[in-house]
Amino acid sequence: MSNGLLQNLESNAIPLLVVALLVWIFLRSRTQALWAEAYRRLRRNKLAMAAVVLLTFAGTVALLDSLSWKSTNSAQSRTVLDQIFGRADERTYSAPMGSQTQELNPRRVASIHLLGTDSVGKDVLYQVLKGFRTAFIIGGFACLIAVPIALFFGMAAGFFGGFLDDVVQFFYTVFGSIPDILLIIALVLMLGKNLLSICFALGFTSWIPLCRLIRGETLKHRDREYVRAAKALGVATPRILAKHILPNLLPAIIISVTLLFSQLVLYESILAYLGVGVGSDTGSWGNMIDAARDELTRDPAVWWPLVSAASALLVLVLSLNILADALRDAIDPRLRTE
Amino acid sequence: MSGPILEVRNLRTYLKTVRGTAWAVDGVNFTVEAGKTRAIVGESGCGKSITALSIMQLLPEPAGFVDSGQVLLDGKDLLDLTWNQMRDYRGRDLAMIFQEPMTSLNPVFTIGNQVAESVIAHGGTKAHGRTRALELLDRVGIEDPHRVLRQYPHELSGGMRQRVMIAIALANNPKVLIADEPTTALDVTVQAQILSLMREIQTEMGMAILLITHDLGVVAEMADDVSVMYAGMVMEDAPVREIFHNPQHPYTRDLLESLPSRQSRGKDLAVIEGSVPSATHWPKGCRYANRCRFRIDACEAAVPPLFVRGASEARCIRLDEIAEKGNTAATRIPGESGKGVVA
Amino acid sequence: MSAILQIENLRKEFGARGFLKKSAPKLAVDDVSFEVQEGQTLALVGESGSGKSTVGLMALGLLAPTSGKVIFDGKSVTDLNSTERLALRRKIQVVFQDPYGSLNGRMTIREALTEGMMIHRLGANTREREERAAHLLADVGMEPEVLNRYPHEFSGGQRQRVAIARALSVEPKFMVLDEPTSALDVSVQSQVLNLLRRLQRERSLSFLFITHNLAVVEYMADTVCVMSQGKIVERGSVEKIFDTPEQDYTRKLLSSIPSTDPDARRLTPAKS
Repeated sequence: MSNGLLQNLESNAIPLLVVALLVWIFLRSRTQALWAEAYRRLRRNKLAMAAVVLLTFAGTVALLDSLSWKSTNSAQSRTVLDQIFGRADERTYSAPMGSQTQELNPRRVASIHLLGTDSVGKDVLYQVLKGFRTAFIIGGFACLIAVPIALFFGMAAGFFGGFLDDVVQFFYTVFGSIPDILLIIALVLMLGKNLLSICFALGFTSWIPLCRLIRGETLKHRDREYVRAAKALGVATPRILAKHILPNLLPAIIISVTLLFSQLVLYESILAYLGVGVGSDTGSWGNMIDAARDELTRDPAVWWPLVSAASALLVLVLSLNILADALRDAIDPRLRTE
Repeated sequence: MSGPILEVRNLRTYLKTVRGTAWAVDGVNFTVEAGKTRAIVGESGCGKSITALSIMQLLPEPAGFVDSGQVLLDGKDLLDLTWNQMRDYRGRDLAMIFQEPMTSLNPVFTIGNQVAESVIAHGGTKAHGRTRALELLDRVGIEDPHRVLRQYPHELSGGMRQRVMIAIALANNPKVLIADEPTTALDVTVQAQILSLMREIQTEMGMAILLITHDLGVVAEMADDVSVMYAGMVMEDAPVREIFHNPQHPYTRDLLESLPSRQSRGKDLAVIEGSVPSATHWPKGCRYANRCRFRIDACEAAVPPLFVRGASEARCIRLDEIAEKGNTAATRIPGESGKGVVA
Repeated sequence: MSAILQIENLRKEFGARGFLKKSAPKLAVDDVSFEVQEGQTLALVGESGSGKSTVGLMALGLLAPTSGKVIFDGKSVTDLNSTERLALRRKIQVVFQDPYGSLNGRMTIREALTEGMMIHRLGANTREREERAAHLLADVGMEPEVLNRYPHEFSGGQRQRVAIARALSVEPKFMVLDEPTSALDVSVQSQVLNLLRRLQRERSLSFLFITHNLAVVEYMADTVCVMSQGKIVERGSVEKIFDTPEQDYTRKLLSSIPSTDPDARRLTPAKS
């Protein structure tokens, strides 16, 4: 297995790099006193640790679904997750834990499906787990687009003020007045219905609240005495922004980005429901929920795909929200001063 | 006018903090005579504000608790009262003004509303509240009270806001006015006006004032009696003249000597080395011992009681020896402090 | 003795500005002139809103005056090119009032003290700069071990010492002290004042001391300028201002200072 992995290194480079980067950021921040302190406080919060465990699990699933290679018996490259669930599909529905299909001629199912199968006999658990990768990609990429835009405009407007501030404010006030959903749909239709274009569409529409926050925080710090003292020392403006102001914005940014991430994950489902989600070949909870609409009307109702997908969505979003809340307590400097 | 109107006995108040239980007020005693001013003076963190809040029972929730002691107002122990009974006393017999007049007034109500409210809260009618508000604003020296009645807090200057706060405090002719750093946020000329006003009203209405401050100048101007607080305890309790002309406790001496003045030009000021011990772990001896220039080993054995010397009482076991030395010469070598030790 | 800093007819208007709105400018500083002599302390005294801090910011070159000149060491600060401006930065430093706001909470003491040296290329390498930082800490009465700590671990007085050390890190000749002890307890204030006086002596620094605390002025200053509503109303030596004030405003200001002698009350007559 590892052999195959190595052979296909280039196709797996991105997920491995992302993991390496996350580990590096974590280890590096641990060596800095202020962040180490925040981690200590975070660790004391049991609920937050539960959320971290769930998120780590979700992340691992997403990673397993991102590492893929071509095996000898198929021309298609298959992910680790595909290989684990590489068993025969049923022919149609089967209930969770079910040992029988609902066909006229009952027969034993090939293996037990923990969460049952859907209308075409696909394992629901497998589909649910597939959704994690999509959720992470959408949340992550959209944030990667939204955060730099928000940082650039927010810090520039807050720090330099004046005409620039007026223009940025005017722009995001106007931009923010267009209903998000219309903008996203328009962008997706323009760019094509795939994962990447949805990330772009979400990223370009979700930076405004963050930008507002960053502008306000920058404005607050700009007139602090430490910034004035740095100017008096002769520190150049770019360095003041990067070394003095940005680190002071980080706590607020990290907290809101965590919340933004969870919102983006929710958004994906809404888009799928509206028919502008990721294509049907990509596993997504939104698609599952969308498909489950019809299945609920059957008798007996086929509820398990819907419940499974919704639960996975709920667990991921809830974990992120709990983590954001705990991070606020752990790193908010206002709580630390006394 | 004699006899204490307010008496605080053995008051102990603690705050729950992340680092443990902090005994912010640890056995404080003092009396406020009717019509007189008692100043509680001390540096930040000495427990002076917590003392005031304990008397009013307005400690920060949910972290602050009065552990034991008595707060006798006219002989009645306020700490025995229920929350509802205490509410009747607050604003009627006991009134309080704070440091920051901006945040003590509600920004969304007019001044008239807020002054009248304090009358209505203790059983006045609406009409009475309004006429009384006018009267009070006039009394605290606000020109054109009719206009100010309709104004909002942000339209007033800091000094005007503090006058309004005093008007609210006076609404029900309190027996005791507790003033917590009432002029700290104000400019010096405005401070002078507010202090004069407080003194004027005191003479006129005969109320007692408990003045909480860090400013020795304000103490010298206003107080009749002074309690010098340090690390949750009263270190010295004396009439104001004694405090300034004949200080007993080493801490009081050090504080006075560290004041800059014309006389000390060109010389180093006296400094107090070291830092205040932590309220979660008070030392078992004298709390000033680690910074005291007169420290001997016996100081660290037990908390000294208040020793009487003349009209003063001071919590120090070496009062007599220090008094002799203090009279001969300034015994201290001037020098500047030096340690950046982190507690 | 010569003037190290000359302020000539300084004027500053603040205008409320907006995208589609305009309002009348507010005159914060109005025709202010004074000189600070080398090695001396000039105190700028006034109440809140008198414009004294605005003058300080303009003297530092952190705020552009509407009109008027700031001349440092014979050169007009406003006409400098960027290299000269950076060189000037080194010579004029500042210590602010708020010990909690004047240090960056996300920078260690080491970073705070070495940043200026790095910018002005003082010290050949990181190691040398750190040695200098340790010396500076010792000079302001702190232990060199605190280099790796963050500001929130220190008390107000200690932070103010660090802020002073940071200002000294680029070896200035002139320091603007904007209410440096106003947020401190008296016993800590005396430590900081002693420190400032010693540094002034040892490094022949000149101070522009901005404060509302007249007792501190009386102790620290050589010359005094009294400001009110953007203007200097009276100037002179400490003795002249405190003993024979000429202007009504100065007299009012002086008579407002609480006395520290209960037998000589100024504000409130002693009760019989």
